[in-house]
Amino acid sequence: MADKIVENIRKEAKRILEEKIVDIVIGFEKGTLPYTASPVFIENPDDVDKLIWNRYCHNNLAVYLRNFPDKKIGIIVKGCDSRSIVALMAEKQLTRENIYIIGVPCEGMLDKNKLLEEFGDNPPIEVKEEFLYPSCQYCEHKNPVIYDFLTGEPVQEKEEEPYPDVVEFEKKTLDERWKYFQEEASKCIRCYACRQACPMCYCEECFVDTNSPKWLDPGIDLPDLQVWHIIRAYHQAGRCVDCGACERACPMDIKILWLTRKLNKDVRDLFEFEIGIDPEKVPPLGTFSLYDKEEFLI
Amino acid sequence: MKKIDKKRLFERLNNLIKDYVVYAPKGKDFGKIEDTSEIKRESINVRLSPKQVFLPQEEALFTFKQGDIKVPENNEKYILFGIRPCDAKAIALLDKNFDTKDFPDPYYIDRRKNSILIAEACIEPESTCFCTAFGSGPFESKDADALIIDRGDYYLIDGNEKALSLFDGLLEDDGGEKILELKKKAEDSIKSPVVEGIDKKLSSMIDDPIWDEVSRKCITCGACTYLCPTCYCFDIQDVGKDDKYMRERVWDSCMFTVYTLEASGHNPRKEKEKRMRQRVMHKFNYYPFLYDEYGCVGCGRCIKYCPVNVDIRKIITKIMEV
Repeated sequence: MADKIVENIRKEAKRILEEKIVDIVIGFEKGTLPYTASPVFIENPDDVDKLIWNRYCHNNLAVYLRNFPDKKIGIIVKGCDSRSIVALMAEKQLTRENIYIIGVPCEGMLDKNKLLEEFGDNPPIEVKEEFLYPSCQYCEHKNPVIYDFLTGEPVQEKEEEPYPDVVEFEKKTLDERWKYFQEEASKCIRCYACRQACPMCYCEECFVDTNSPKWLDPGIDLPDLQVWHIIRAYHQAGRCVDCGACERACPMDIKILWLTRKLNKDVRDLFEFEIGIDPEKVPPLGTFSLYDKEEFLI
Repeated sequence: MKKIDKKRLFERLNNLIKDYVVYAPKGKDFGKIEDTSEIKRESINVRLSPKQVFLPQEEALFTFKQGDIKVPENNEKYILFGIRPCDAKAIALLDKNFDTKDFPDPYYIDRRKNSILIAEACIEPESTCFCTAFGSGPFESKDADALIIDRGDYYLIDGNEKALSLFDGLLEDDGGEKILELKKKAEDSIKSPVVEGIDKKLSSMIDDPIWDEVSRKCITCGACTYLCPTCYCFDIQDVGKDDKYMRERVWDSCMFTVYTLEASGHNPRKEKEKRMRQRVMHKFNYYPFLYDEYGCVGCGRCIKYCPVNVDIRKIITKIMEV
């Protein structure tokens, strides 16, 4: 099955490059470490054999789409990556005509660190759900929502409550929640891997990088780290597709996914909105309505 | 070589905590310990490198309030226990940059001059290690004050007077134990790229198309440079915190867009390939030019923690193939 998918990806990539439908194809190549795939950029149709597909293709490739403004791009996407494309289209960051989407239904990506810990360098044959990345465990859009070409059998989507982790988290007391947040934020070294791995963090100038006004001091004082994480999350409210790229990119293993997931759940509950499904629907953060709920004002 | 019982070494180290600030591996990272029971390794090498001791991520150069300027003093003595030979070499490289004749850096030197580096040999290097590319190795002792080799209940130890005197009365004869085979096995397990001549080669590669190629997958975060034991770039900013005003030095990273952003708005390294080039050039061309040594020690952190698997060994190989 996986071999067939790889074969189809290569064939289609070769075709769209040869027929000049696209100038470049963004996909995955074999990584240099165990349990690793790495983003690759193919321009020559003869190079398509570099392309692979496996359970380690966890990066959200949509993050690269804005890097080639003058090119027609072919891109290989999972469910989450396809939602990022829709979200970027909704915010007028991409033109659909310039992108050719090769979709692959995804059974969830495997957590490299968990596998290394459990199996060392010898990959397991059978993989249990517990080895999936947290974002993949909760995923409710395993199948690409938008594509020009689909390879692989559609995967059964989950139908239970999509935010079980957030529901549990909400049960904690305010002090417990704050303490957990502080502990996680305190590990931050401000390398901004979370920001850079995110397709939706596309600001030309991030608020942490401005110096007039200077919103945030440099360095690793806890209050500054907290402000960084809170504002990053708020800017993602209802814009984040829950792909988990931020958490996977973090070299310090900071748990940050729950923060954006909580905000996404709030946006779903308050505005009945889910990002990355309909490119015509603008996220609540990007629009204004006289009928916005304002219970908090009074 | 001498031999030292592990239990007795840790007892002594515990006593030394009274007089020294002791840093050691604490799980994944490297940090200050209050008791040797905190010493724990979760991987061959620690994630945050020992450079943080001498070049902290954030430090006050001076504080000021209404004309009253104070320069912080630092008279602490440090022991860095259980760093790896690559990281000891990284500190030797930082010395070359901060302890110079023309521009000695007092903050760095104050900490460094009162420090003792005790390195631990890597009996089983990681798959990301490539220290042997730079004339070093998993048993290299020359950049540390002492090298210890784990032999189960005891360590073999060799070092200078400054380090060995910490363990006065505990050192025993090593009984002629040979480590050559152990050393060779560790060295042979490391697959390093060939780097000979890369410095000269790079001098003519400023405009080579390779920079675009090798930087494409890079998402320009600072994970590689912040975890790197030799990257030392910093920014200086004035900061006011809780009625305290200070001029601070904080880590900076050539991978960030704002790294060389000038006041005019012009940025000579706006494109990421230029910033990737800077990172590679600094380690493999500028450092050899200035200090006759490569600025990389092959610790493998940038490979292991890169979110998109940019592998510096692959970049080196590609450069060598041009």
